[in-house]
Amino acid sequence: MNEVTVAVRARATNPTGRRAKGRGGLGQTAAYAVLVALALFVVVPFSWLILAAFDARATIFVKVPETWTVGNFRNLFADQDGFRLILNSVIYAGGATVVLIVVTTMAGYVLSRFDFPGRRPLMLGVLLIRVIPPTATIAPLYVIATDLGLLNTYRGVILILAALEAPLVLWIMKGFFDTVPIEIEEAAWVDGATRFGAMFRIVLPLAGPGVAAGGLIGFIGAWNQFLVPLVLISDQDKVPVSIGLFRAWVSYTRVDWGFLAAMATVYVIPAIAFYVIARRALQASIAGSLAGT
Amino acid sequence: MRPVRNWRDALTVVGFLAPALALVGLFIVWPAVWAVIQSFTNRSLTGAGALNPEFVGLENYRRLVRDEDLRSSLLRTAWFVFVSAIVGQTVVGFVVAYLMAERPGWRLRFMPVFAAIFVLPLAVPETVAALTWASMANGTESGLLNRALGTVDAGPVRWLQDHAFATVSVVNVWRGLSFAMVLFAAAFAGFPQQVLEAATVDGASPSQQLRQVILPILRPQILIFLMLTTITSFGIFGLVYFLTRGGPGNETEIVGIYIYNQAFRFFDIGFGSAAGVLLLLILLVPGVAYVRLMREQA
Amino acid sequence: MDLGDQAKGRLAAASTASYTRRGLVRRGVALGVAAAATGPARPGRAAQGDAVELTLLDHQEPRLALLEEMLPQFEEAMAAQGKNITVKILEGPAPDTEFLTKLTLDYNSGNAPDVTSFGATSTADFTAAGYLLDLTSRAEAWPDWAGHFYQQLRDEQVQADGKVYSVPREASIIQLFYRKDVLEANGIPTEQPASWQDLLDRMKAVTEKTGQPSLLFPAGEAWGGGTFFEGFIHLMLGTESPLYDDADRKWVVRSPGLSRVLTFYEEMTTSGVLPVEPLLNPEPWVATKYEAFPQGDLVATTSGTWGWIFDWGPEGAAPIEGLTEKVATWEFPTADGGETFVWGATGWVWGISAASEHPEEAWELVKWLASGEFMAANAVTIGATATRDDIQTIAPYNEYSFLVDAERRLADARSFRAPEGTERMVQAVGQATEAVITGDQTGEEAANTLAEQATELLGPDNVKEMQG
Repeated sequence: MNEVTVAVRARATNPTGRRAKGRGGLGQTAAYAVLVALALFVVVPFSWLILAAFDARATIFVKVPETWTVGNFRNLFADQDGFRLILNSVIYAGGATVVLIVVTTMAGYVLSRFDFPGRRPLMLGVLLIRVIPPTATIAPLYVIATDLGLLNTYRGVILILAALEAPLVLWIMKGFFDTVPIEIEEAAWVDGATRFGAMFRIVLPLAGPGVAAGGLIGFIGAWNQFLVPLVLISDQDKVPVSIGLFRAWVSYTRVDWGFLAAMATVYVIPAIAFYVIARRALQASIAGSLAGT
Repeated sequence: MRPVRNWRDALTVVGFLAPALALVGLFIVWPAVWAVIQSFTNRSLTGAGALNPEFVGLENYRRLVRDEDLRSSLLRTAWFVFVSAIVGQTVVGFVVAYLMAERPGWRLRFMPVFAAIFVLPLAVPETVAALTWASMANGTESGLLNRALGTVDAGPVRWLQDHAFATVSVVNVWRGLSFAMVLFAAAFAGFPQQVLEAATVDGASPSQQLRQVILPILRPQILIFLMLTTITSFGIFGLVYFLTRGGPGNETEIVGIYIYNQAFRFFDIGFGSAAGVLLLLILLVPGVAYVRLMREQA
Repeated sequence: MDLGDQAKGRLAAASTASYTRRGLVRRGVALGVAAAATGPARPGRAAQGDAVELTLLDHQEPRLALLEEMLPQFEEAMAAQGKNITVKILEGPAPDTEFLTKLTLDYNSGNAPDVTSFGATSTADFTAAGYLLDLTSRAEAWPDWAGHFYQQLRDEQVQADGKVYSVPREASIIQLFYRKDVLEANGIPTEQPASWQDLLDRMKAVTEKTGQPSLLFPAGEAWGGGTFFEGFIHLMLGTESPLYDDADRKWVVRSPGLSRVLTFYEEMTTSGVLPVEPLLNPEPWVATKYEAFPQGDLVATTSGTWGWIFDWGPEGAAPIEGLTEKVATWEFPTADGGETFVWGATGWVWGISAASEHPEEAWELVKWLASGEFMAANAVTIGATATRDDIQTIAPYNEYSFLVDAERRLADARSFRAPEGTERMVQAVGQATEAVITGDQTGEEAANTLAEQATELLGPDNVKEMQG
């Protein structure tokens, strides 16, 4: 997903200022038509979310509210359970992000800086692990989590969410460390800095935006997760928003749609915001060898 | 990059790698191995198999092979991947990225606006995507899609009851299209413009350019995306489970839901693990292809 | 509910519950999130040394609301005995299948609530897994158990090891509901049909006059567990063959009775009385019970007592005006005629976790839940009958004469106690009946398919065949 930054940046710096000529007319009109149709396809489903969230009498149907209100949001935060769901999501995704940043920064740094036997197979192995979907291993994962006493615990879900995002984020981190020339580091050693000192004081600040971006991408993944908490968390005080939405949705009737839409909105905002921020952070760094990550 | 020269370096490498490897090993690799082990048992979450799981040899695999529900679920999943991921996301995503990309003789306006719009579904959690589409696709006359149909005196259509498979496929396109467009946009941006200019000078028509210049050069990126989206779509669970829970009947029971149902609805952990192992084996094909492509790219 | 549970072909295990509760869920179950009840605040219950807090897991708004309303009475009753017991209500997910998943995961991980409720079909599996507390001696020491609970329901609680692990919460009575008005208008007799043939002949006569399918025994995969518990089993119990042999604990997957049942499905299909088309579509009960029956096209259908309230009652899913004049019930006829019967069986039960730290207090709670005013209110909430004979005068149950009348039938009702593997059998029956009603197979062919499929699903050690 980081590619977008490359795209944006490339376009921005591309000095092709010419206006299009030639076949223009008809072809371009058709192209606009396609793009507008697609934009509608993409945007329209959001209409329910936003309208219902501010509707005092929301339903499952898209309609312009007769009475606009922020009451749904007020209820959400005043209501113990609504607030609890959001807090739980923050704990899971936040915790997973912290774990992720620590472990993938360390591993990414080493993979970027050291050549050692098995480095390349290891990198490719990590890539292959990305192929394993949680759906395939969820049954044994449940059993393992039970045996380790991780069921119905924050730490269990945090660690598993971190593990699921780790391969991708590790590759991203490694890519960012690659962009910091080792010469800068070596210069610091000459000036008497220790290896760790140089890493913390020189490399991390330079790769900092990249590290943050990797963390945010991990956060988004963890924030969205549904299957893992569905299976590992049955204590209703510990379920995250994704499960809360599902439970409310499958209760079918007399659902408070406004409340639900407000919760979904609050749930979407960090995901989109962090994505935008991560994009900027990615732009700020030198998004070099990230193809396919 | 420097070779590891002394024990301190070696210690650093091992020490720094260990936490990440432990995490991934414990929660991804070990469950995959455990899946294989467990698939030879009748371990269950209820009944006698919960108290005393027994070794049952290849029994679960024998059942898998004969299970018609699994067979139809796999076919359904393959179809789901083909329709929504390969055709829907990849082809449409490529076409749109192609339209949006600037090249000699072609430049559209408002592209940053379109780019910003198209990126939206990418960050939306699958549960929210499902919820909004549940509203769109509501089967009564008041559902938005049906209201649109109503303007031409058609419908109402019970999307999630009578056309559940098509509906969830569209939702998956909606959700994954952004990723395709973003990836292909990047590929176009990195495209050597002078090659296209040369082709234009040589008098190649746009379709010739596309077929003879652009596609061959972008082939690796296209293949990489194809592999990635195939893998992800094979493993989809939440998006479809939220909307239909596999129903009506088994119509949308893709393999992720099949596995979940075996393990957590019929509580047959051993059998669910065997189905998981099968899914892993299937995904090994695009997985290895993906890794090889990436290796060539690097 | 409509979308997932009911239509889900293979969701056998939980579906006994699903079908009994469909009406309820339809009528209105408040959402989990906004109303997520963690129990009302209990005023002034500071710990007094031996204070005990029990956890009680249930689901769906009407039942949770009832518990919240009435549990303080239990706490007061305990306080009067000098026991300081409070009950914390935990809310499970609304759909029965999701609820069963949560409960099973809780049991498996050792996090189960002290007391909970589940469909009688789950008792055998939970018992075999060691999740439930043995209640045998406690039940024996409770005078009400032998004194008031219906013998048949008590028998149904006895598990393979001869012990009791559950107390019945409510009982389901299922009969044939028929449109008296339509039959009379068409000059067709309304007295109790004596045999399958008798029933079929009359329904054929109706179908000839109206051109519409007239008789519904749920069949096929779209109805989920309802095909078994609302359709198939009421025919099976009308034959001489057992479906399960308690003596050697094997399923009887081939028998003359099975062949006759599937052949009867074939006859219903070929004569046009069975509404095949709706049965093959999602939510088959909508086009049949909620549309064709109220319209008078469909003339007879199986239904539980809840149909009076939640399907066709004034506030039900598909109200029939003048319900009691237009609709009446028959017992199920048997294959060869003669004796007729109603189905009466345990619906949901109360159970105590084997891991409960407060088994004595939990037992006090279960006894209270299975007694007096709570059982009376609970039966009405669910639209089912009481499981003991001394509730009939208690309000609000006493106001529902059709429930009280149905309850009396428990004394001589037939039922099928769900042994281990029931959900697999339900799956096989769904497939076999589907093959018959689509015309893919004759009744005899489907009987072969059923035998093979059930053997495959249940394992060869757990099945046997009986030749006629």
